[in-house]
Amino acid sequence: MPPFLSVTGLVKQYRGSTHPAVQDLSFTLDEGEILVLLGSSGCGKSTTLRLIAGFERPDAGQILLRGRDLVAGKVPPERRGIGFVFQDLALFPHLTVSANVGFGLNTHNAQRADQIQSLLRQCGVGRLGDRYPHEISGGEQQRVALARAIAPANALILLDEPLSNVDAENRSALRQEIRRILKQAGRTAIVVTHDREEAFDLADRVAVMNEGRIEQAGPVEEVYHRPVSRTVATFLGPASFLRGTVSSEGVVCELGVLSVEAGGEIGRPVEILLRPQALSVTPDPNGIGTILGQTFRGASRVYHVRLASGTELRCAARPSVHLALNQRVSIHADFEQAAILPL
Amino acid sequence: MLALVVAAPIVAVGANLLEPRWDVWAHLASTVLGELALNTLWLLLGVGAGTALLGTGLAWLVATTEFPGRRFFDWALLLPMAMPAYVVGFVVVGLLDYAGPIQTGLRELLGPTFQLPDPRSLPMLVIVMSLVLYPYPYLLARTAFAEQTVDHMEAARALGASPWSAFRRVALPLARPAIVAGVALAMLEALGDFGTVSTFGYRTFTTAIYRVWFGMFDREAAGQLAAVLVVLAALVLLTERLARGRARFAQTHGRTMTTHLRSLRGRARWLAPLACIGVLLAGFVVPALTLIRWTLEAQASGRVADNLGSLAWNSIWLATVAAVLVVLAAVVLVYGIRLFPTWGLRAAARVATLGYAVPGSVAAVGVLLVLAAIDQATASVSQRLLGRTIEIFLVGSWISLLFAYLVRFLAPGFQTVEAGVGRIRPSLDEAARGLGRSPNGVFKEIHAPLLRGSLLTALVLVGLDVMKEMPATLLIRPFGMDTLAVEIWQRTTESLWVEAAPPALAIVVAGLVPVALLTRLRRHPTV
Repeated sequence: MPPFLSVTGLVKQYRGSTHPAVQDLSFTLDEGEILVLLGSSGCGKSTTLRLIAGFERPDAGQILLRGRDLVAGKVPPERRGIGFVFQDLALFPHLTVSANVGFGLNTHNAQRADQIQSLLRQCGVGRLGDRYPHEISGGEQQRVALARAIAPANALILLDEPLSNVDAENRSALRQEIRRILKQAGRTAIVVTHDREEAFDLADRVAVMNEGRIEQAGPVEEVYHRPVSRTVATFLGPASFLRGTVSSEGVVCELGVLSVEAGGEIGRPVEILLRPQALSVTPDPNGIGTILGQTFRGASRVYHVRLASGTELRCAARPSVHLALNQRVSIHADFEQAAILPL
Repeated sequence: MLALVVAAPIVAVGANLLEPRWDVWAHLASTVLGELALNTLWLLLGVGAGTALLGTGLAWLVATTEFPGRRFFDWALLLPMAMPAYVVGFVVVGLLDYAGPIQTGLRELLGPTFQLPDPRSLPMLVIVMSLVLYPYPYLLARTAFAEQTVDHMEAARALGASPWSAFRRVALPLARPAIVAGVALAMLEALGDFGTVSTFGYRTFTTAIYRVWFGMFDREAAGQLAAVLVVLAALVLLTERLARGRARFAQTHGRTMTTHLRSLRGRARWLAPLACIGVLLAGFVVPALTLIRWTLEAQASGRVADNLGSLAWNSIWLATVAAVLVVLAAVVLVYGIRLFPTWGLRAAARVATLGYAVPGSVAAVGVLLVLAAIDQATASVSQRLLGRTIEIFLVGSWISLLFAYLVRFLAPGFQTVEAGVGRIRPSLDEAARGLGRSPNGVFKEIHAPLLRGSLLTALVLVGLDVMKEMPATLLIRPFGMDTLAVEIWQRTTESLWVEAAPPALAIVVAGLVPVALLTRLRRHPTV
């Protein structure tokens, strides 16, 4: 069976720019899956979404939705059957919430009102049907935009930075809510964001984009723990990198020896990725690290430590641990959690 | 294509520059040219300084300080916009001249030899025009001040600047682009003004065009003079561009001046409203009351023109047809650019909307040059093809008048429609497309309802501009097609102030509509 959505060799270069926004991009998506495209601004993730929706035309490449070729068929956006949630939500200001949600429905019978009402209820805004978009809060607008996108029974929903207009405290709850609604409605979705928290909360699978290409794609945990590059690693969370060398026992570094099969010839330099929680510090006058500073995070504390070699590490500690500036510490690394990156 | 048609008259006038008629110039130079140039220059400088001072000062008071009556003055200060300059002009002359009520009253008090200086003077003319035209810089500067963040002012104060020097060194430079743009608009109005300067007997290029055209039936001289006006208008625009430079001050976030009004204390607290009242009295209340009194007087003595009804009718239908035409053209142009944003189309639109900077008399001359050429061409072509001459007489028909209005007023229509369309975010189009609408459906279901307000505003603004427009109407109206503005001009040239009052009052009342619209728009920024 062919994949639900398959994107192959997509290229898009905007007129007047020197670099293509999207270059040779390929991925597939299974039915019912939620894919998060994660990347910094300008990495081409929004362009990818707009190409799939049909608001832009690719210079090259193929987009197959349920086996139907959207690019070669020159299918206009209104015939693609794809729902889109815009960054600015794009609710029609002259229409009520109900009319906005009903905009994409082509039923004109008594069921229509019920259908709209049940969509609104499904998205948790059942009582707002008669209001106008400017009369409701940002979070509510967000839900209405989602309701409008899923109303026409579109199998694929695209969300472009959907939470950028919602304040931080409501964001997490709303993310869970969006995931629940999408799953309940049985929709496949692609979410574009630069916020890793959003990827953690929403994604079945995450694809990290950089300079118009997908650098790595996979389940969130896999990408977090086994990133293929420094860019991917830092994008998914705070990380420290340590130089190491391949030896007969494994990989040798300043903090000890990792007994892993790194592959390659003896003496090859590699980079070791260590997340803060894989590193712990204890006061030790003869330790190899010096405390440079700290960041209090409420539930945890992160110490910045400098090693003799000059390498700086981020080490997590319980908030109750107090270490003074310039204090010598010894560092224990849990190499089980480490990942080896080629250099 | 449409843009080209509209731009043609301006280009035609401009083309006059390419083939200067030295004989005409030699004659002009030996007679009036020096006087015209100096007069026009002084008028421009005077009005520029006057409106800059009034507009900026009042805008600063209203936008950043708190004093009794601030909310009222905020919109009331726009009222003089409803007054065409020529109306205030004849009211002031009527009130102040030797036979007017003020001098008569003073003579009764002080003896029959008492005499005030003649009100028909340059300083008085500048004051009158500044009082009516200051709302342009006021409106733009007010918004500019209101949108500035207090942070800049507070930063300046923290760095040791006094309030006055903080205003001079921070707030004023930040608002400068807006102020300059407003002053440029006011100067363009002054440059194109015909009614006021004729009432004051002050000769400028505009009056000269009229005299040359009607007095001497010399089209070439009129064309040459019009070309000079185009150059002057271009100079004003160019100065504005240069003064603006690369300055782009965008800062809309944060705590704005209007949310942190500075309360005035002591004497300033009472001087501020007094200044506003003074300007309002002189620029609106006194002229309006005088018009009402004179109208009543005219009615009592049976001196109201009996064709006032047909005059008003002429004004209204001309204004309506012209407004519809202009708005239609504007919609076509705006959507043309939105759908095909090519360099050529944008440039064409830019040229087509130049008309607003070009005085009405120039637009008229340009239209006549173009239409006369078409008349001649059809006549000679038909002569050659059919053996007989078909004369279509576009010149002097109401088509020529409508065409002139289109040339002159496409700019305000275009800008209003463009602003309306610009407010419709592209994502709305895309959202509607994504929900299954064709491009046509998007226009019908999203744009049409969202644009209704802008289109209506454009219609009203253009319609009233047409109603007030004097020189173009005078120059090319079909024979017997008299309007309110024409009637005012005819009465004022005979110094029949009382008789001129009824049609003037009608125009002022009509002029209040867009002012009301403007204040409403400012209070409820649309979605």
